[in-house]
Amino acid sequence: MELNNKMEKEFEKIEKGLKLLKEEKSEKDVDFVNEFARFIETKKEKETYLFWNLKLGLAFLVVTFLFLNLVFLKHKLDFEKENLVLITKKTPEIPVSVLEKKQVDERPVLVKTKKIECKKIEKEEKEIYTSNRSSLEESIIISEEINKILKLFTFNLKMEAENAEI
Amino acid sequence: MENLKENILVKLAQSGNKEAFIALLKSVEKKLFRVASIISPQEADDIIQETFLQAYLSIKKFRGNSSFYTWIYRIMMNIIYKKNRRKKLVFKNYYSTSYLDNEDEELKERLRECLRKLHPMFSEIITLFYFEDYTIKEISELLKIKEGTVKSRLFKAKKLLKKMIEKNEPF
Repeated sequence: MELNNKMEKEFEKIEKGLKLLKEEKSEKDVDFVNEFARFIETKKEKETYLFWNLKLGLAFLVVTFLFLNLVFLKHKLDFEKENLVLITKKTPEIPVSVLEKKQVDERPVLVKTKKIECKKIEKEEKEIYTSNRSSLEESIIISEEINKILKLFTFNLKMEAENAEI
Repeated sequence: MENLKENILVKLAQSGNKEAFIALLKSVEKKLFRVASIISPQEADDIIQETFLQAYLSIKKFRGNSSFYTWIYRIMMNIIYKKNRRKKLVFKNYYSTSYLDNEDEELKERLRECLRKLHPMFSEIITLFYFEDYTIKEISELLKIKEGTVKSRLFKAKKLLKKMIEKNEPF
């Protein structure tokens, strides 16, 4: 009991203060929930707005990226085309002397090779021709000789026949 | 029956149903505001709004181990504590002011400041016991702690309040 009394005395002031606080009544109308509901609504709207904005932004970025890619590709193609034209056009830009030299160097080689080839072919043809000719000639000679012999034979035969008749 | 209704509302709110969450808030709004206006009358509106927002953002984390009121009440006490944690406990000299010309008013103001500075573990028991008229048994059921723990916390809380008040100027 004594301890309780002591404790009560000890906290007398605090309990009194707490009771005084409890007695305080707020006369304010409480309407936080509706306010909060409106806040959630606007927050959701803002979120959806932001979400759509982000989506649109992303789509815009993708489209611009594709467009840039296309432009870049077109430029690249044009550049390559121009480069090709330049390369073809650039060849005359090589010093004329060098080009001529090159041509001079190249031509004889070409001519030489062609000539050599032609000569080779001619030679071969000639060889073939000569070989053929010789054989032909030989065959002609042989045939002539055979004819001669045959003629002789026919003459002999005729002579023999005439002799027989006689 | 009410518990079942609350559980359904909580589940709906957790699944994103705004109306269910608003209904839950409506059931605790007045009680919360009462405690907030006792402890911190100037900031009560902000505290309540902050509490609602915090509850809205973390409703999915609510596991249903306690009642919705206890859960949101703890959120509010934490907000009050965080708001005042870094503030120095300095009692104004109310005797010099004309509008607070008596000892009771000064005691009330001092207690308010001390309650704001008190750890939520103790301030929630003080508020539940003194302002909400809960019994020790009810508090133990509400906070799911033993009755002995409630008693010891209540005693410690009062002791801390006394210490805090005595630390500063005497009345």
